[in-house]
Amino acid sequence: MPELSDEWTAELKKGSIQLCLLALLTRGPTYGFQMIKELRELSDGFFDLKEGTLYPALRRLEERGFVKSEWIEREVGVPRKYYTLTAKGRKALEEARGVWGTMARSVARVLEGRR
Amino acid sequence: MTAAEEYLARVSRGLAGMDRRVREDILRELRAHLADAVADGGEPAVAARLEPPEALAARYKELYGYGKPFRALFVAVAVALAVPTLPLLLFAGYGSTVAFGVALAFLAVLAAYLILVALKAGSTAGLSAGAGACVARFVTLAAFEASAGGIVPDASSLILFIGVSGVLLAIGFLPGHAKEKWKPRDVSL
Repeated sequence: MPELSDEWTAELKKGSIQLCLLALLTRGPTYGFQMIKELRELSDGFFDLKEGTLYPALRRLEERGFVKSEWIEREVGVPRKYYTLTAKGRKALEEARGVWGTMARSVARVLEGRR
Repeated sequence: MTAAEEYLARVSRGLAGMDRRVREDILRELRAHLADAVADGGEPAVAARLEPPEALAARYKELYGYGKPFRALFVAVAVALAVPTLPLLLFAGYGSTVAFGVALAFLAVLAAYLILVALKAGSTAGLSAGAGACVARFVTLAAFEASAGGIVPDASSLILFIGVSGVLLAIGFLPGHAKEKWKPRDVSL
């Protein structure tokens, strides 16, 4: 994808990132590194989040009550922090899905210059 | 020290002043992330992708701000600096030039300190420090009026007092607010 400027691309992506994170969590509880990987694969490389973007974003979602987190010990290796979608998060996602659908259709119409 | 540990140590330094439990939780999560990333792609690949630790720490700090002990300290220092911004030396028998000169010097130091707090710790921290300073000035004035045999300041002194207090509040709030408003956009996505 041609990159006019990083800032411009980041601005366009920004609005959808929380929505994508919530959507990922509908598949079940998961941890940060796994989310980065899944998001990259599902989006064909478009969303390639850095840890400095992902983890603060997850904490924002947690503060809003959309996700909750829990440390899980493992037999081998360091413990991981797992994130789970809450009922409030599920509701927020449904609402966001609706908004996103309308937005995508509206933007498409504007970009095509149709009435 | 491995590269990952060094990276975490630098992030940790950047998180200085934050609530200890939040800070430890952040570092623990990053440690798990780095371990997973290294296991997945090898250390050189991870190193190439990592953001500067200072930038990462700054983003967390923006989210959480300073911890309670630090915020309390910011206010306490403002209070301590605010008391001598009143011409207290008048009551010790010094002339008004000396008394007001010393008060003005402390006022300048207090103003510089408030700007620093506002820029470093954000407009909320700056505003609380400014408010702390105003309260301290008010309490000091009241205490001296009560104890110094009922010397009541005249109207123009009172107006000056209130005006300076207002300016202190503004100085605590505006620099941090301006910085938050005009800071360059995050391009990490």
